[in-house]
Amino acid sequence: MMKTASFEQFSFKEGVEMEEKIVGVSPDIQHIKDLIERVANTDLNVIITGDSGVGKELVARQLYLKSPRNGKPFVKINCAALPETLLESELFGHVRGAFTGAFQKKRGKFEMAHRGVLFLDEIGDMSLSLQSKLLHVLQGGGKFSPVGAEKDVKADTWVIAATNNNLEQAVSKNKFRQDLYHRLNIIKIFIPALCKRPEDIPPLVRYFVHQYAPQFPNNSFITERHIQRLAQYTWPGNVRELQNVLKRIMVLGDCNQVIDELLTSSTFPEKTPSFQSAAWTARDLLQF
Amino acid sequence: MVPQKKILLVDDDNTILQSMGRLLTLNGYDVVMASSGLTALKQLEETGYGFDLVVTDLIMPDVSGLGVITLVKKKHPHIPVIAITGWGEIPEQLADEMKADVVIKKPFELNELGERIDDLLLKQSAIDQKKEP
Repeated sequence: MMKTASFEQFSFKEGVEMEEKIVGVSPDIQHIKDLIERVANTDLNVIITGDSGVGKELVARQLYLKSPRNGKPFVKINCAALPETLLESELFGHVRGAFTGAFQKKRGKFEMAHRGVLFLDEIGDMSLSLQSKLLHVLQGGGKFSPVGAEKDVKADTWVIAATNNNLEQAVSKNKFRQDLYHRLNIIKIFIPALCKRPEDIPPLVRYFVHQYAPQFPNNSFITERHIQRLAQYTWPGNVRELQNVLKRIMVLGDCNQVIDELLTSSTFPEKTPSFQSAAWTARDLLQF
Repeated sequence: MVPQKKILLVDDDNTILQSMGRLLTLNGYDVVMASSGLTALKQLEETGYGFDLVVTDLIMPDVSGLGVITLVKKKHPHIPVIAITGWGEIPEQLADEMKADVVIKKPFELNELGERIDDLLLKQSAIDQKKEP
């Protein structure tokens, strides 16, 4: 089963997990690592911000791995992926008969993440109504009511949220609740775009090539000259885009062609797969 | 000789931090200054929370003052905490909820801060003396 590619979990082979690691030498990355070490055992609410593809989920996982909650569930929910009614049920669960189609009781992600971490990705896209409910849970020390239930449920859950939206702006436009913003914003971890820390590109390239090399032993020939050229690109898709380009290089076995395309065109040719897209398989790449 | 009371000051505004630091040093306190919530966490951990009082700004990058307050009150609830806020009602309500002992709104007079600190430390000393056998 091909996993949905997130920055740290892509694998060409079924079931192979890549080691998760925050890679970089820039002061920004060193600061993020320092912050993670200091706050991982605090249980304080965290918001992780940054552009798409910078590695927000990786930071969330690192917080989890370095916390006493490591080994308990890490549950992720993408707040932009579901309509409001389904998202409420996903978050808080529902009882049988709560709505049409609710044929049995379902535990929500809050409850599933008991003693672990609930990662709320794209929290900036949550509706105001659900924001109120989330605020109520945070104020109530983890007490919430599944949809249609009469009794509250309580969960000891560490909430880590992420967004590529500007939440301060959203608050000023009344699209995000100020009280929820302040309650989530106890710890704020901002991950700058890759173009703001180009010194991180070479170590990232080496890291990913090393990770992929066992699967492509004959194609692991990225030279320092190639790395210098890759470092010239602006990487609007950030680390995720870098990963996808490296995968393409290693599948096709032609660094120069891929890098030439990258540096000479600002938009990709029609037949080239989007480097921003999530899941890639080796078969997809070999069709081009 | 009575040991000096040790105070941790946390503010990302260097002008305010230095002003508070100078005043409290003149008032005879042993002052440690932290220009961020993260530095404050480091100071707290490295000293084993060895402070008699903490003064913290609320809104700071990385680790907010609310985070500092929560951790101090969770691990050493007897350490008085003064929260300083310029951001309106909500952070103030949260500071209360997290059991900050005093919330001071910006702009404030340094003398007011000095008096609040003296009061809190006096109260805490009285409590500590009552506990002694």
